[in-house]
Amino acid sequence: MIEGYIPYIFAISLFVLGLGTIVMKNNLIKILIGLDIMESAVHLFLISLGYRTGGTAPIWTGITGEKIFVLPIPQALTLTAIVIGLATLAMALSITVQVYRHYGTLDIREIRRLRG
Amino acid sequence: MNIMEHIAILVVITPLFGAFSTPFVSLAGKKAADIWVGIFSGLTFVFSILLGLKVLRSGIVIYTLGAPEPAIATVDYNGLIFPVRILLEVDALSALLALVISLIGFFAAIYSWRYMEHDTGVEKFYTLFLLLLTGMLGIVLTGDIFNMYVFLEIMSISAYALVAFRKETFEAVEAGIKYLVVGSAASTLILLAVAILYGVYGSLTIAQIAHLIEVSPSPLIWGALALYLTGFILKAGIVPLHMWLIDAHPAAPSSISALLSGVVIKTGAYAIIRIFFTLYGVEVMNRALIGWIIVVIAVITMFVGGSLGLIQQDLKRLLAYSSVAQMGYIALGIGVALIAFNTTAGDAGLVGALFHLLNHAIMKGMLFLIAGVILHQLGTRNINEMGGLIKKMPITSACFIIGGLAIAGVPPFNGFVSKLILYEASAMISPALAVIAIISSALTLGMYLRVIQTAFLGRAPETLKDIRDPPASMLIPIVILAILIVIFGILPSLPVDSIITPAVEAVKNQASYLSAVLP
Amino acid sequence: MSEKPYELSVIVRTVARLLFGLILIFGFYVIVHGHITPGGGFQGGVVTALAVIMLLAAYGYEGVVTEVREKILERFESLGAIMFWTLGLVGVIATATYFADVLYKGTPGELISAGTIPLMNIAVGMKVASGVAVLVIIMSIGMYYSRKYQKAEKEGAEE
Repeated sequence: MIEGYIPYIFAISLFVLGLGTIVMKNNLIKILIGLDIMESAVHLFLISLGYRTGGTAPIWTGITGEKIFVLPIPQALTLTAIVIGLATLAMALSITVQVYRHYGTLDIREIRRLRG
Repeated sequence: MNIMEHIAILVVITPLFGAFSTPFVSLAGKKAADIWVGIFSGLTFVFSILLGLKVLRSGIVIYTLGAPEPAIATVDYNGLIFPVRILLEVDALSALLALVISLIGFFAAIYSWRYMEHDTGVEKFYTLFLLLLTGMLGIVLTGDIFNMYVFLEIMSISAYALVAFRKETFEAVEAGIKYLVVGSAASTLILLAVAILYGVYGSLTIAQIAHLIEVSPSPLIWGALALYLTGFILKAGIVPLHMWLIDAHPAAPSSISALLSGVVIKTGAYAIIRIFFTLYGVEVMNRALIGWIIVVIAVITMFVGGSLGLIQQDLKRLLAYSSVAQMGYIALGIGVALIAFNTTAGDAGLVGALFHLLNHAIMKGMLFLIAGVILHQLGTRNINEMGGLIKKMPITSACFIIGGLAIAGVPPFNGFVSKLILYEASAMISPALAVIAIISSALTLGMYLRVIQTAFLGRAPETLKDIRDPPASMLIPIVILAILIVIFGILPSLPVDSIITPAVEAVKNQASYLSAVLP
Repeated sequence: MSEKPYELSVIVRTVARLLFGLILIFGFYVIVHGHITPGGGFQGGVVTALAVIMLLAAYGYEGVVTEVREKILERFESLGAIMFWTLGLVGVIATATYFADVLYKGTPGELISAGTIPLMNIAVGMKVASGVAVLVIIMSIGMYYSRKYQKAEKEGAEE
């Protein structure tokens, strides 16, 4: 019974881990790693939703007979989410380069010139 | 091909095409890119009007992507009928938001012609600008929760890039990275909520999920609701999660500030309304509890925005705080509507919230454009360095005074009407609530009176000799928005009867939203 | 003081040059067969972009990128997006809806089948390949500048 829930428990722990990284770390790069861990946790969650025991990849192969496919929709969703995650991460790293150029540090406690 | 049949998708794909064709057009020079962006944002506006007319005339518009007919949303699988394709579902609420977004977008595009003349990489700016429009329009028109997430990310990523667009200044870069970190954390929460709903109900179509929630509410959906709310409260800039807004909105170029404050945060409010009233439905939830939570958050939001705004020296930062306060009013309307759903008070709350949403988009859009004019002409955003502007740039100053008084809720401008409706609605729930709302409106009034008194009236400093009104392409959008403010203030029944009331009816009528998709 | 541009050893450079074509071909294969095998536009596009990234790693920014090549890649990216958009519009023109699959369907499992889907894969592949390549190139500009900056700092310290 419990085996079926292991991927979800794992995904939620990863998610909390990522959230914790964002909240507790002071280095910008580590925060971005935390964001990525959070995203990966959600991807894992989605993929686990679509998994069927003994299922194969959901592709038309021409083989006849009884076959179990894993659900294709969560895979499509995950792929889309990965692409979006890639774009966000690229954006984040590019801005981080600019942050380093202006502040000479990646410590978020020192990236605080905006006030009021 | 009949344009009216495909109008819903045209609203989304027109700015999308504009975005990716701008790099090619800009090979012919900046002027060509300017005109190209003007054409495409204008076309989007025209299509939004047509879409609105179609919705008003014939009810909810369904557009199914990839189907043989736009209206065929479901497939029949051995007698089991369910929606599989991505679909756009446009009711009066979506159409109202699309109209507001494309209106402000069109004016911001025209304003950008001259405003961005000193910047490099303008073609990239225009691409991101049109992608931002695409994202927002997609969020409000789609009928699919995952698609909503995708459009949310299109909007957010272009917004991050646009906030950090002037990367030579430390301000833009710092605001950009702050916005990006909290914004993508919120997006991830929203994605997790989508994943949970998909896991529970095996569908992504809003109508189908709403139907299944009605039939068999599972305890897991409350986890998804909490994640959704946290994510969208952040995207809407409502108080415990508003800090990014204060940095990000002033740092962006002013035409983008107008879009961010005017409409981007409104998509968060739209999503909250859509989730409460359509996706979950008011019947399954403990609406008194959730409603009061929203009301408390709203009251705190109004006070934080209003009181912190009072002490700002930076004009755009002050406007950003004012945006926070006004989002509080919209949230107050939503909360009241939840507590007293389907009563006079609840209806008034919804009318107030949606009318204030429309008004605030117009007012704050205009005020940020004016802040941009001042920055463009004077080179400063500090209120204390301005003075006597009404003698130097009379038209701009007059528009700012109209906008400032309107947002503070002074008659005869539109902000007064929508705030009055909100006061009435909250007084029917609890008179203390109305008193609090009026007090916080006084804070806003104080905030704007200080700006008007210091910057626009009084004596001009010696440094501001050769200041005059901006070029026409910057002035005309401002003047038109100011005229709209006055018209909506004098004749409030004009927008309320024609577009707000249908939107309120659409919000209240969950059953018709469902039956438009499901047989 | 003349500085040699950044590049790796001759072995790495030679292997990178040899593999460049092979990686491109594999990327194109993944893109074109996206509708009948695992993979598709995004995956193939990333593989294709890896070829460029490998050259960047082996030869350094100065050795690979010129202004013109970067501009070409950027235009290519927009072209991919426009192509995808236009393929969506084919459905509208054929009196169905946006993104409707109206072209010749063929036999399932063959290369020429599934209507617009393989064409869309190619469009997405174009966009992703050039997009990811441009991304990495832009980020490597930062690397290039910071190297130059450090060098200038070191020279300043020596003086």
